[in-house]
Amino acid sequence: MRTWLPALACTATLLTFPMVGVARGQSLDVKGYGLVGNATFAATDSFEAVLGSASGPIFGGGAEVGLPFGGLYVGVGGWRFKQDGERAFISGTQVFPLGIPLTVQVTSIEVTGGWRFRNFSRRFVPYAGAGWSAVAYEETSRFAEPEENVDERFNGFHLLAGAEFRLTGWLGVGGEVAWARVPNALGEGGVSEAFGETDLGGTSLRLKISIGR
Amino acid sequence: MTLINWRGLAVAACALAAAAGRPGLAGQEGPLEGVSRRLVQEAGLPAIDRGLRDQDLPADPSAHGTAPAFLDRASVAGSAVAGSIIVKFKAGADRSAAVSSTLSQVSGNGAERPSWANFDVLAIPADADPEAVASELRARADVEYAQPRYLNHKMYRPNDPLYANQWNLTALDMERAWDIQQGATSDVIVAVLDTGAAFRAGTFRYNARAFRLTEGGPIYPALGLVDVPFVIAPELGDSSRFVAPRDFIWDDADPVDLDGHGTHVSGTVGQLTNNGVGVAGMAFNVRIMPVKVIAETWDIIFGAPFRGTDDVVARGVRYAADNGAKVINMSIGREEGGPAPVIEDAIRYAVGKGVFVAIASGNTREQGNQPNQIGNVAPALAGAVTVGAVGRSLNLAFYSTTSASVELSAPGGDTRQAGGASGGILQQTLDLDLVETFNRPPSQFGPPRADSFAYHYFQGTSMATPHVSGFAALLLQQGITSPAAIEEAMKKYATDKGAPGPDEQYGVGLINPRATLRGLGLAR
Repeated sequence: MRTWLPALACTATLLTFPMVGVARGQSLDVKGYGLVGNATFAATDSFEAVLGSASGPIFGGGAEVGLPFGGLYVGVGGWRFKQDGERAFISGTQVFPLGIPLTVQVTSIEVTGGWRFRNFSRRFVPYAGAGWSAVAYEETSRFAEPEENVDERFNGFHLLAGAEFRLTGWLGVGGEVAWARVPNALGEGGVSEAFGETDLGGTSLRLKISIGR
Repeated sequence: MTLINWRGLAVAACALAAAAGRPGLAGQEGPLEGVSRRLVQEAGLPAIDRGLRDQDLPADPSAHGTAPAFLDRASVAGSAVAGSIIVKFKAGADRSAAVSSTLSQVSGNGAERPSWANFDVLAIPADADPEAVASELRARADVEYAQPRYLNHKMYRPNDPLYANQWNLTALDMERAWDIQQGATSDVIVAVLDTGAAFRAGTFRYNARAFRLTEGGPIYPALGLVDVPFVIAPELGDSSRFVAPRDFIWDDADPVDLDGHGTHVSGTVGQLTNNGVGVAGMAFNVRIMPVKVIAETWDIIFGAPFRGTDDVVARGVRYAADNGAKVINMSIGREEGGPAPVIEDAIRYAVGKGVFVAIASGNTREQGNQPNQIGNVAPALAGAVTVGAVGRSLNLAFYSTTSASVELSAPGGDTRQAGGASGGILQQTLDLDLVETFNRPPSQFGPPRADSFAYHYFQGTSMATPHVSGFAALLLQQGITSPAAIEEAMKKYATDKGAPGPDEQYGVGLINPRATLRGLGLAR
């Protein structure tokens, strides 16, 4: 999983260089961005039982390329969620925290295609998109043998919508909401099995700062 | 478990005791009146550690745990005490009117509401059949239940002691379990309802009457007043380890152990560990509440006023629940007789107060396979479990009763499996050589000593049960505070044995402390 982030950074860097001469002399709109946000996982009971909350901060970044076909764009980005909690036992709906430290890390790489509604305003650009998510789930806890920790990958999809406000020609800020579904990633063990929750997806609100055109 | 065949006991008691008379000491100190024991010295000399007793010949199962024939035959009807029964009147019934009416119906001549009881003990004619009288009273509209005063006893089998390690703790992966939960803390109190425990120092004076162990057997002479020294078992710690001791056999606050069973069981629950001495226990930091509800050989020889009847056991359960116990260990029970609603009621009361209860399933697999009657309540009650036993090979112990009431299994020892005699459960307890002097010929018979200890192998579901009780204490400390959740957790992680799924041999399976204590992550 950790190897994804350097690759993602390289991709973002390359994409932010203006590429000239493509499509009969038109330049592509290319930008990189960083994001902070808050993710709320669909497996609410499971995350609350172990981490105390189903929500938590995410940090990430990525790059987008506006294609020379109207508002069409493609992008690749990623974010990471990491929280400490404790292992628990579930009896019915009652949660018994066991005091055994545990760390959950969710890393998502998202490849998105979408549309920018440029005719709305020159500086205010709404957009919407959808795409494929590759999600890595890691869970480590104290007293665990190596095979008792979790490091697995799953596929899912996401939908997002947001708006960007161009502060200058090269600098923009924006916000978006994304909804993701990562089916069958949970539910085969742990508290997620007790709660019958299988989806590692959820909803995230993101604040983005972008550099580029 | 050794079945006590009360009916088979010879009875020479009254005449014998009378013939033997009181010894000379009586003239010096005055006879013991009422309850025939008296604390004559608070302190005691340091305990004597006689080490590992792995070369002893196996004790005779028929002798160990056998009640002496002090009890006259008329006092026991089947497995129940004659002359009295237990009755609980329904809520809302006028108790005094109901008692009067009931006594009139059964020709009874008295009723008593003992302490820590929500039931009455009715005196009925000595020649009346307690079963029949109880059955008659159960038909009354104002009676919730009525039952004979069945006798309970400890549940272990003597073993062939030739060994030197605690395979049981290794089999349960306790080293890794203790990494997670180091023996709980003194916040957790485990009540051991048993023959008492070596929990205090002091010298008690008893009046030892003459008796026979077996019908037609030799007469053991009256010893008269004897001073018996007691010391805290070194491997159980100091006096701060014990809380709210209670003796329902002698009706006082000194549940000293005159048998060794309760001390051994207490050791499995909470033997001092990592102290460089002796052996280990499951939950070595808990506090222990010794509650004596079983009368064994010496108690009877000394004329204890009470025996381990159902009402006594029920009061013990209620006492433990009312005095802070979080876990109750019941390595006791009976196979004979009918149901025990008075004990079931008490166990429900305890569980309702947040107490987890572990009960031995019984040791009768080769003697009719009757389940422990007081364990029958457990399968229908979340928060109480009935425990079967496995041997060193982790297969069902030869004695472990199989029935639908078996819910979990734990090591109880089995000298027929791997390890042979070392397949028992090793803990420190009273040095049986110095306690079971009644196993010697009468000419060598003498008073017991309870200030000398040794490491003995025992086997039985009595020995399996405290593993579960200690395990429950660890889970409590770890954060699972509900008795029902403790049972659920134990069962969720139990290692399935025998036929897939729950079965009458192992229940859900062998307890798995380490996995249970780890609990659940989010995904695994």
